[in-house]
Amino acid sequence: MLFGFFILTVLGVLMPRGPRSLAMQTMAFCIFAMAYDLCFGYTNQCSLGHSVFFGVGAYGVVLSLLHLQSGILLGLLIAFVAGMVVAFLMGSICVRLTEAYFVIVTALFSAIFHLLSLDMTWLTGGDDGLSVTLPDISVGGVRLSLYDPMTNYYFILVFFLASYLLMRRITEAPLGKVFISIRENEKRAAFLGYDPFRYKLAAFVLSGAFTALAGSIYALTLRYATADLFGLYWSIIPIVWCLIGGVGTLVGPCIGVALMFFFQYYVSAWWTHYLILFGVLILVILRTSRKGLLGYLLGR
Amino acid sequence: MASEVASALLFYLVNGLIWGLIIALIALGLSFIFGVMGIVNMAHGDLYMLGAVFAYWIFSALGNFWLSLLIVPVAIGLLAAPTERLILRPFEGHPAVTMIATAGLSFILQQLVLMTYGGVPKELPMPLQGSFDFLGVAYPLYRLFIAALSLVIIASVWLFLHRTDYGILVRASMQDKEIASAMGINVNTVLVFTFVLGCVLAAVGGVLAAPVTQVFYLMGNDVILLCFIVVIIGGLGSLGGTLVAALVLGGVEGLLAYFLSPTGARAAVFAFMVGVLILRPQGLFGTQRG
Amino acid sequence: MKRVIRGLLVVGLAVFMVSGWAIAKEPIKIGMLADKTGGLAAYGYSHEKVLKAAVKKINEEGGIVGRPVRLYVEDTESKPSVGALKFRKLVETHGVDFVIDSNSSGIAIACAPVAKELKTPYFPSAGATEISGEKGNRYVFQPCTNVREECKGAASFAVKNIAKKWVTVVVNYAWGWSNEKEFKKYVEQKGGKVLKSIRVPLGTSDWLPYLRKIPREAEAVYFANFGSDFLSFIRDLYAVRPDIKKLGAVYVLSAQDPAKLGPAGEGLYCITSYPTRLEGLNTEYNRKYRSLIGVDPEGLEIGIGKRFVLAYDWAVWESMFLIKAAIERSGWRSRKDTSKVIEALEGMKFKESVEFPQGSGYIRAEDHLAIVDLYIEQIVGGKLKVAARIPAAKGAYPPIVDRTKESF
Repeated sequence: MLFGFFILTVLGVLMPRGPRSLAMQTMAFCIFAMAYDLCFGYTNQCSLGHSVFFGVGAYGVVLSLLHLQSGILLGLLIAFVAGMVVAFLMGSICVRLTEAYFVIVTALFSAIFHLLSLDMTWLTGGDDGLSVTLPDISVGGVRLSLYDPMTNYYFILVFFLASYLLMRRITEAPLGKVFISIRENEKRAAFLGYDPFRYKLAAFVLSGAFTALAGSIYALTLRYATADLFGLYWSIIPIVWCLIGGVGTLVGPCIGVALMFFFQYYVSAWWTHYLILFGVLILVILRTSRKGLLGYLLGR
Repeated sequence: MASEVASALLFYLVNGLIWGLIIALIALGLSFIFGVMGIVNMAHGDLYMLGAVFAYWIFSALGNFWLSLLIVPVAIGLLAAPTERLILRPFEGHPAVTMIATAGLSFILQQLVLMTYGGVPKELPMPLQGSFDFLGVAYPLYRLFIAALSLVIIASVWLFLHRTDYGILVRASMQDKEIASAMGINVNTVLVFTFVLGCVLAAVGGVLAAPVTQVFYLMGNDVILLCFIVVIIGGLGSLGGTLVAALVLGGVEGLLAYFLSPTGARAAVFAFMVGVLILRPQGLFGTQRG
Repeated sequence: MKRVIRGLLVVGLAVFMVSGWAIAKEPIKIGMLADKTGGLAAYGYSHEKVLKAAVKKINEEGGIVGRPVRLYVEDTESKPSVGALKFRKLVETHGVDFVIDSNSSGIAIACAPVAKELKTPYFPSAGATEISGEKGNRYVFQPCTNVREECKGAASFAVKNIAKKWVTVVVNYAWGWSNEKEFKKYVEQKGGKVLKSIRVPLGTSDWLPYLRKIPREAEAVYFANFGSDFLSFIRDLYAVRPDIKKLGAVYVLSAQDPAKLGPAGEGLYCITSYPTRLEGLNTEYNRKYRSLIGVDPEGLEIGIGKRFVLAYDWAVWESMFLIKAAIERSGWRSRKDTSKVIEALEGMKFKESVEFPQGSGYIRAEDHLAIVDLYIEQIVGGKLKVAARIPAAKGAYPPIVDRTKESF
């Protein structure tokens, strides 16, 4: 994976502008996908409510820029914390519920947030959304503008790398081991003295916070946020990424994201109805390996 | 004045209940497929859409709406059986995996319909022309007909499950597939049968709804979430629960529409549903836990 | 097998990275954001067909200043986020010099800042007033009419020829709201009255509960909805108030067969910027325009027989010829001359012709809005007839912004 980051660093200079823009967007969604897998793959909580965190993150940064003139870095921090808080509130209600009920209650939250964001146009701009002009970032006396494509690329790459390293640290730490043991056998983990609720909540909150970070970085690359980001679509699509890429890992979901964007960006130009191919691909991958493309490639 | 408000409320309530019945019909199939097969069918809404699109095609070709009530179940059955056998069988019992596999199916179905049927929503004329005065509104007779037919279908499904031998086999498989298989039930055919029945129910819902809503390739997206909510709130595997939950959802949303803005009404209903699930995590009538 | 797949993936990745490298210099490149799938699929289909016809015409007649035009089409999936990504793809990968279309105001608003950032003139054919207002910028033009222009233009006809006491019924999102606001404002200026405003969620199949709220004394309803919402609305309105008069916003009738609406649709008025049937604007130019885009005098697609969405198609067509005229007048050669092209477009007048079949008009310099004539159509005997032609001056409102002072 680190080799992959090295390649991405080199490619940043070599790539033409088009693919570079695609890579930027893909990296933002990779953060989303990894964050989602923290909850789905590591603790087996199949949430349909992640669009809430995604939208909160996007609006967190856009609204901080518009109303607080907060600057980009502080805006990202605000978005991250907002995602964490919302995930904590939502998680303390949902996480206790078992499978199917958890899925539906999180989906209901996603629907409620979507409806409200459509209605509260004074805050969100509704369907038409809010555009934002990005201020410069000053780090140690150097001023950086995200309107410079190269700066923007490395800016996102840094956050992608940092998120990956942090999440890898979490999953390899004892905390991550508890997550996995809960996924494998919740009762046994409880017997060992780990309160499943607290650990699942922790995974949910971390996942929500990183999802919000992904949302805020995505909003920065679009320079725009819309109520559409709260839609159910953004809750379902991360499951697709995880399952076709490889669930229960951090790299797998990224492969899923790259695959989907490859289809949306390139195949759609050749064939409008590319979703048919994508649907077939989903079925073929699921049929071949329950661990997704990554599991298939690494398997013997 | 007071009577005016009362009659308005009555109108909203009854109208909401009639919509609840259509939702119940579609949700019933979803509940079935999930209960027996463990498939979270994200393509269920698209079967509803297919039912409506087929009804439109049949009407355009033959000029008769009622024929589609006969042809569509057969056509959908012929499509659904091989789909279950050849595509979905390996995924059954893994809810998250089936969810994505059926989401893949949903992409495919929607795009195929977009390619052939086109992106323009189309209208079917009302097959029953009459209307009657219902609290100051010329209420279309056809809506009452849908409500009645939905009730009849739901009742016959209930009778089938509880009063016929094959229905008992299906219910046995719903409770425990392995034991049912050990008891000598041919679970394979039960699985195919359940999937076909579930899909046909959704498609019939689509046929019935086609003249009331509009026929559009994304129309399935409008009902799918609602159906899932109804199934879960009603309690998994509880037929009666699904029916009651659909009626409650339709009725409450109808009533709230009088007081709140439309999105506000829906958001309030959803928030209410969250409350129900927190207080009664097994659903209104559920006995087993998800 | 596994080795083959691994190999293919590596090759695929390499192709993926290299693609887009080779950009030929010669032709003038036009990008199109078409809503080919998703909720607006019907509009995307017609817009793409129309723009392709325009490009074909230009190329057959020798291109623009001797250079051929090459069109790149990308699908927005009717989503703002995808639209913004595809806008970048058009400019950054295909190297297009101008971008035309998307019918969705949300997409247009999402793309406006990108157009400025990438210094690429953008011509969305979407009707939100904000596009030529606070959400636009110097690179964004609105070649079609917008909601404020349409409501202001129609207001005096509404009060004089239809009714005094109104109720508005709109779909519950930005486009509906701005129709609600503008119609109320201008109708009340003309001495009418809006008794009640009703909002209905997008995709509602049952409109009865909402329409029941229409006050008894209301004589007419102004509505903004389209596609399946429109069909449900018109049917349910007939159940509630068969006698009420109806005036629809631009767009409501797109691709619908008025005959199929039956008595529920009879007598309905509708604002439009382009008459559906040739009869409404029977000029030599329109006959030519229709034959070039393959649409018959009744508004059906030739050879297919399906209803064609004509709504803002003319604006997509005219965008292409606005670009052509601006290039010819400004001496634009490449991207570095973009500011010259924009200055040429600001205030540009155009004369009724095959290139501008909708009629003469001009692009207002201050806010980049097209000022053109409007029409009121009415369903009479199951057919759409033009009931009134509204001169451009009636719809023109004072510009909200002045783009000409904005730096490039």
